[in-house]
Amino acid sequence: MRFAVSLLVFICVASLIGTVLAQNQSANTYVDQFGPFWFALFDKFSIWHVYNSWWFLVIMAFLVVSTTLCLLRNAPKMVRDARSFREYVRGTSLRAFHHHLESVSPLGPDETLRRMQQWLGSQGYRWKLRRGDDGLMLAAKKGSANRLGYIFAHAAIVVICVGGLLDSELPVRLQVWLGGKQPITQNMLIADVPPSGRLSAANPSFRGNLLLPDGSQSATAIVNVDNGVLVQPLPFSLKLNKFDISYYSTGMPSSFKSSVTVTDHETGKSFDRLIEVNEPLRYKGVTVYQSSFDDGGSKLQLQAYPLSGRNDTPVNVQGVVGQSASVALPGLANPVQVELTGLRVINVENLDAGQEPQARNVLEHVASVTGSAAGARNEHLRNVGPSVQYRVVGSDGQSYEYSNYMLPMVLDGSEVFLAGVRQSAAQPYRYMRIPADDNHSIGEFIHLRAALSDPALRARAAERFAASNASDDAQRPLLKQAAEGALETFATGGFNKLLDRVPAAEREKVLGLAVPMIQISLLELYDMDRAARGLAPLDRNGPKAESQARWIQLALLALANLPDYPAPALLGLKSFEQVQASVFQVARSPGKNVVYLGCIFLVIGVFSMFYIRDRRIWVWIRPAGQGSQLLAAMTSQRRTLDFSHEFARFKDAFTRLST
Amino acid sequence: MSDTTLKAPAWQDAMAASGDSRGVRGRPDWTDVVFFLILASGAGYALSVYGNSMDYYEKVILCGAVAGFTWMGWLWRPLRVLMVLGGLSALFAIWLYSGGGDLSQGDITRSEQVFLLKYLFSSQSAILWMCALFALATVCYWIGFVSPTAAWLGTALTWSAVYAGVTGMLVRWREGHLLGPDIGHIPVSNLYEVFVLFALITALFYLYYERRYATRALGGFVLMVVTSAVVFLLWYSFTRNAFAIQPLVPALKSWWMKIHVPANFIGYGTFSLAAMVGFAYLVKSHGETRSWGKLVPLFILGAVLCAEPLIFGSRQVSATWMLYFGLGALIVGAILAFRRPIARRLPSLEILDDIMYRAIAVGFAFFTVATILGALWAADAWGTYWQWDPKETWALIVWLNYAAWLHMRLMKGLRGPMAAYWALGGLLVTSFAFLGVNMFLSGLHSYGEL
Repeated sequence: MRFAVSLLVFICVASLIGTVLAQNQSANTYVDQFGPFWFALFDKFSIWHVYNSWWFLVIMAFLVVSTTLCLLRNAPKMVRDARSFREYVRGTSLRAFHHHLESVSPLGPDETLRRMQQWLGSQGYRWKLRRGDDGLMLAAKKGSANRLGYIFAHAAIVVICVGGLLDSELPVRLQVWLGGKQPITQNMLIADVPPSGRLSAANPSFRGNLLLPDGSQSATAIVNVDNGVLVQPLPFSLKLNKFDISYYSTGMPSSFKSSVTVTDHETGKSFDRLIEVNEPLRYKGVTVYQSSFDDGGSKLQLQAYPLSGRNDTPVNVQGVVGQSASVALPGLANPVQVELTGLRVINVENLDAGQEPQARNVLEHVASVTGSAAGARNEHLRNVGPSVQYRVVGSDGQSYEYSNYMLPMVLDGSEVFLAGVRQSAAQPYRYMRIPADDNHSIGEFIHLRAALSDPALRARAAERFAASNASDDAQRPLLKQAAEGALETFATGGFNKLLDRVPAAEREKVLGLAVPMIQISLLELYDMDRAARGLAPLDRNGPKAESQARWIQLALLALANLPDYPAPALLGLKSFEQVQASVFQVARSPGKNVVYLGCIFLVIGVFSMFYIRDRRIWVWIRPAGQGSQLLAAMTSQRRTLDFSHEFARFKDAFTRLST
Repeated sequence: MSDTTLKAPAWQDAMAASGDSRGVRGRPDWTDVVFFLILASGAGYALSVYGNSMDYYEKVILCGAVAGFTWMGWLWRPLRVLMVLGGLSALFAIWLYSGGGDLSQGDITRSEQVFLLKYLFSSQSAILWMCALFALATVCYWIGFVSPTAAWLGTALTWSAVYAGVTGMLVRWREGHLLGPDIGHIPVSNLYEVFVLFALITALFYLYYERRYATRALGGFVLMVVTSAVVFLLWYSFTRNAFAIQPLVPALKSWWMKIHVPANFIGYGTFSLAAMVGFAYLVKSHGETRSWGKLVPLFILGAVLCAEPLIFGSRQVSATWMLYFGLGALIVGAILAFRRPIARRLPSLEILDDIMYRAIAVGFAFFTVATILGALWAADAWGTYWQWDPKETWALIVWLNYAAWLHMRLMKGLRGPMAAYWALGGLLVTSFAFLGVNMFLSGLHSYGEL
């Protein structure tokens, strides 16, 4: 008993750790969090997966065994006790009960007995009568099922634990430990997996994942074990006809549906089904749940805009999500390897004033894990269109993740493209805002960028700047030199490089001079570039002057950020052909019905313990002259206030009946 | 009709096992039949008109609700009045929304134009009324320690608050459907909605025990927890606009929600009630003590409980919450300072103990059912009935805590201050499971994020 309670306390504490510490993360995460020493120590107790660790399972086993023993020892006694009326209790011993009554009745024993029996019957008691030498002993009871409550509640704990154990990772782990199964840790095709990496089709208990791109078919699930996987063949094959997400007007996903065709391997028959969240498919003892979704290899048409050198023509790139594409930029010796990681067709973002969208991973909108229903405010939510995610290893050997939107969005009144970059999934994207041109494209910006990287053009722009801004001829060459220097520094290192060269005290002053200088010369530069491409110079006073000034200003900011942008090119999404994939959870859980049975036991147990009240009454009737002498006692397992009230009622009745 | 029946007091101050004027629950009488017929005809109407948009299980739940509500009405009569009045005022609000025309149509913007909607019957107004009335009721109950009239007023105000809350929730359900055909759903889907539910359930259980044990002295204690829920609710709606009705995420689109959530909140509500009764028990049992040493743990526990929303409510300490905490600590201190007169008014320790036990027993039974329902639902939605998600695990911890409490009481005869301290401490665990998990731990159950 004490043992069981301490086990329960221990389970509580262990569970608590499990909730506080994120479970089943990669080892690196934990090393980062705790340092190598503590990691090694904690790893001994596998607190990264508390609920499947050996000691947790051992405690559970102890709990099951100790509760079973307790049950086996006590249940027969309890049942016997509940069935017995205890009519053999000695009459005189009734006085020892706390709640007892005595009285003398003018009525004869048999009449008294009849009255008592009638009253007890009306109160729902069953009774047994013992006629002895010492008089009549009427033993009555009700609510004995209360005792069954204990038995059911304790049996429930055992049954639930056993069922839970059947459905845990234990059966698969046992096959690894004892059955010679070897989890696969490297990438390979399912067809190449050796028998040691395959679980039996008759495997009674497993939980795996199955990723199906639109239109494809599969009959194997992947079961994760430790750091590897095992392949689980299914008794049927599943073909995904179409994965469908529908959205509310707010842009929140309202449903995830997979329309599948199931083909039975045994009979060869097939049928169509719709699998939804909350509506799993159950077939042949296997349950298939809609658990998530992914990209199934969408085809992308991209344009790579060069971000360095004089080159300004975009290169067309074709690729498939989940694969790498190589981008051959003119002027670069080696093609850039781009790993295309994702395509998000719908991005609902909060375009609240001043906030840049922080692309939530749409995958986190996964079927079951979608965010709070109350969190989002509708007014600022906009669908900002598709975006593409990719990864490039930068020149410093560091891998960066990029997220670019296909369409420009209006932020602070201007149309801009957002180009996001981050070092790891743990960080938020930092966005560079690139102003969109009249064609709603990034092209003009790239022209300006290319022009800025041309020293000859920069020199001419500086000259034009000096010509129109110098107060006299003497100042002109100085001004030209200053502007040319500023432009060059700006082109290679942004404002930061400009500031690095001056002492901290003068930075404010230098910035105040240099920014307008660069902005005006940039305008000149852009005009010259436009002229070279046969375009009219920017209209500085006309109707479009204001928007063009705004564009130049945003371009200036973007150019200032560009030196920090770690990729040699920017990939813009031109068009795409989406292929979705549905992720299913496939499980065979033999313990499920056992657990449900345990739950029924638990409910029966709990309710009968609390709401069936057991009562026992003994009435001992002895003849005394013409009348009879009465001694009665009442008892219950539980002395609640109710019991006192009931005793008071019994007392009333007793006095009434015996007079 | 004789004069005597008219003069009979509306409220008898005597213990009544049924918690109403019957004294003892007899067999159902004709009023139960009438009530059943009213509910059944309502359900029948809903089935005939909206049957197409309900699935099989939803129809079963609707029919089950008719039986369940009738049974509850028999268990405790005042619930029938509440249900009928709440239903009628909700219908009235629907009629106001429809602009006097077809009840199935309506215009959500009318809540800005129609006076009665704007100030009384629209869901937000009704819920704000509920908040105000609960706060007033708490004050009245405390004044009730010196004035029976104020205590009576406390009861009346609590009932009005419950009525306003029920109306607000029903109207909110309707407003969801007015916002868009696919948006409407039963208002138990996020933290804001369940907080209202929590306040209502706690208050209703309190009102039942109040009548059953014929004491209003506990009102001040129990309504404190309701009032703190209300404070949280107000903060949550004012700073986070939490009241906005949001469409359901796919995982919540299930009939399971209709039974899992209310069952859970019966558990949370009664556990909190038991904790406050435990507090009253401790005040009563320390009523005559002169040693402050004995009161310190009680004060600390009370202050910690007051601080909980502070910890859970915001990551950084704000002036509002400091004020709240200070006020809370002050109130706990004041209660302890005035423990003697308060203790004299409180019912006997035996009764307090009994209420505590009953509340925990009811809560435990429903919490068990709710957890099992949750497991069944999880089996459909997440693919497994139990996966040690933080909320699930904390539900287990809460369950084990009260299982241990009940076990100790029933098997070992645990009574007295120890049981009361434990019940009060249980509120810490319960509120962490209820709020703290949403705040600190992420998991599948993140529907009510702060």
